[in-house]
Amino acid sequence: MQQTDFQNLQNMVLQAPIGICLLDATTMVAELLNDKFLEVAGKPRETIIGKFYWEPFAEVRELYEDALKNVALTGEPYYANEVEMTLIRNGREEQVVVTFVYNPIKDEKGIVVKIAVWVVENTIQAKARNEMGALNKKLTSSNLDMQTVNTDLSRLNSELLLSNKNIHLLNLRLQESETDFKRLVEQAPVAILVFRGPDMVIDLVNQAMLEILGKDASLIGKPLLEGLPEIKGAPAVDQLFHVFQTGEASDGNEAPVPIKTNGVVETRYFNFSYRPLLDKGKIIGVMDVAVEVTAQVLARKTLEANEQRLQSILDTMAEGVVIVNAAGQPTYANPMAQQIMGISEEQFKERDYNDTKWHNERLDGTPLLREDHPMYVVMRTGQPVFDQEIAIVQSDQEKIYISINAAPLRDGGIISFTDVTSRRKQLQQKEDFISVASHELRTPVTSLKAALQLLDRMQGNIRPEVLAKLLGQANRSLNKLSDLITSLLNTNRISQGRFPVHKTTFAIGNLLRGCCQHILSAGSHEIIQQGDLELQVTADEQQIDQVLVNLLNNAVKYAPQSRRIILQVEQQTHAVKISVTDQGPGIPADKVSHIFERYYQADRSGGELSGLGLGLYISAEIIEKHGGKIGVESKPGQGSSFWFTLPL
Amino acid sequence: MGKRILVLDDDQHILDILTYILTEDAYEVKVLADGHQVAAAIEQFDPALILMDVMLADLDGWVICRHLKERPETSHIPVILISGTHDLAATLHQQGAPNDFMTKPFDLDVLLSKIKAQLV
Repeated sequence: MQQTDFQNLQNMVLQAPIGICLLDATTMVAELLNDKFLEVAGKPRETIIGKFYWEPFAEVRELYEDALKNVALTGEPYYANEVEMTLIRNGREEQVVVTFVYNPIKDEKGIVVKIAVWVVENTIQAKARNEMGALNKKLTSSNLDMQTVNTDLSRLNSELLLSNKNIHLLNLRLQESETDFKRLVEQAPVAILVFRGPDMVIDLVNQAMLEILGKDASLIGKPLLEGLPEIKGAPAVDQLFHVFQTGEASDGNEAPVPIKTNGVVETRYFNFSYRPLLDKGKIIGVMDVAVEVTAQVLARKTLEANEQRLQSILDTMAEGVVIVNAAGQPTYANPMAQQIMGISEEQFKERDYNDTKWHNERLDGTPLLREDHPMYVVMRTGQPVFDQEIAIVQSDQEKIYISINAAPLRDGGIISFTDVTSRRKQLQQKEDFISVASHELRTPVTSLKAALQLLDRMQGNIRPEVLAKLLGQANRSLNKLSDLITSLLNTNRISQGRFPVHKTTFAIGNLLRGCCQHILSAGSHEIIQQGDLELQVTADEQQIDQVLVNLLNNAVKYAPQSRRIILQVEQQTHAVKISVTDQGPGIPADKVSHIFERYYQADRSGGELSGLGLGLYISAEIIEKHGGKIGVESKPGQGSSFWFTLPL
Repeated sequence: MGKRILVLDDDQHILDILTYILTEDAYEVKVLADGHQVAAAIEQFDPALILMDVMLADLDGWVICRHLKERPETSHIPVILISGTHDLAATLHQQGAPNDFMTKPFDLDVLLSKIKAQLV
């Protein structure tokens, strides 16, 4: 550290935005302090300067005297970050939060000669993160000019005279002061840079700053932008030049500055304070006191990024998530939760989990008591609950079923849930289907068994026509049984994806002729085939046959009075459309939409009309597997036309 | 002529077989496939016993049975319900219960002996 005047050094220290007090390491007497220090201390200058430190600061002596002694002994600085203490300021007791350092100042031999107290008050920003030397407050710029410096010096002088020191000591004192200042700045726990002139020539850079920049003292004497070219354009740098031009002090918080470390340019973050340096009222340079806060900023940014990621997961996930506080009151409900329940987040926050507006019910329809609600159980036992189903009535009076997972949080709980209404409906339908199916299967078995039992009874004593009738009955029952079982198996295979399609090319007319045989031979119906019958199609012949037989059988079954069934083949642009039309009673609109569903039976009657209701479902699956479409046009009283398409 | 039995089932095969068996056992049989007509059939035929499948087209045989049991004119007629499930055992103790029941597939001999028992 060379070239800078003692006076300018002094200026700097006295004007610094950080409270500084210099103590003799042996006597702990305060030899120097600045205005900022007085501001934080809240005591008059004369009570501190020249006094044993713990006299004016008796109120905190017990807390820190040992630490101070230790600094002198070990040469290690003592840091206190955002500590609370009670200080007597301006005559009153005040609770303050300060950050301070007892910084040892060593001579060339490494002996601790002085201790510098650097202090910053954070009472107002006590909630902010740790900052060494927080420089957020705007200082009332009170530029000390030479006059004030002289006044201070003369006060020093007079104090010395008052205490009966001689001139010799005074000279020594002055010399010591310069060294003190130099060392103060050099060994400060904050980074300090001093710039001169419009080019911001680097006049002084202390150890702390050199470490941050990763540079050596060769920086001194270079203009800023020459010594650190990588920082050009950073807003903090522009601010610096602005301070020189206008003489206005300025501070910066978490300013990003690109710095080259080990050949790589990284962005690092600083809290800084710029103060103009004046000489006889003219701006000659700028003092920069800076603290690096890169670690905190990066940590905070990582935290923010994590929070954002978490938030977007919550926002987009397919489960509803609600967070409740310790009282069971929702404090957050993600978009899916709002969608499932049909209410806004605000409305969520108005009700707790047991609010009557939910109409919580058990699965059997009885009201769900508070004690049985999963959230209550979780908060009482502290154990999570999984996959518990309850019913809730939505805002538009529709009852839905949800499956809840609930878990306790440190100060409340978290519920995630999915809408399982369709899952339950499917289960219900399946169960209904199974009971119908078992009944249906029993019927042919019953008549088969009865027929055989009869035959058994009548052995040797049976009239031929009775024998023929019973055998015929037994066979028909068995066939029926066989068909039902095949339907069931096919459905099962379809749902398991084991329903392969083997395609061949054939004339559609041949297939139509073949599948009508059994109806035509019964003689009850007339089947008219029309359209592009010789069209070649590529499909699984057996499966398409199944579809046609199913549609034809349905026409016969459900429209027995309609003597005429029309089979039509129509060529379209990229497909062939085949339709089976009858003139029966038609199908009501509300059934049409469900008619191809798996477990749907349009007609629940027994007897000849019975079946498992799988025919249309299987047909639909077959057509879909072929890449075609299936549908029905029907109006009550006007017959039905079932159609399907196959791609050509 | 023997005692009259009214048989209600929508499966023609069953009706045929039951008719045959019961007739062989010297009962007079009337069959009915449609539950809606049961009242008229009873009035006209005056059966000594009713044999009824639980699942009829559009109607629940169990409901018909309860109805018959609650009407004084018909409550005395023994009813045997035929069902594909075993639930009916529990219903024997409820109001409007049938006199007996059979599950499908049923054994002809068992059926005949149950009928006999009810007609004693």
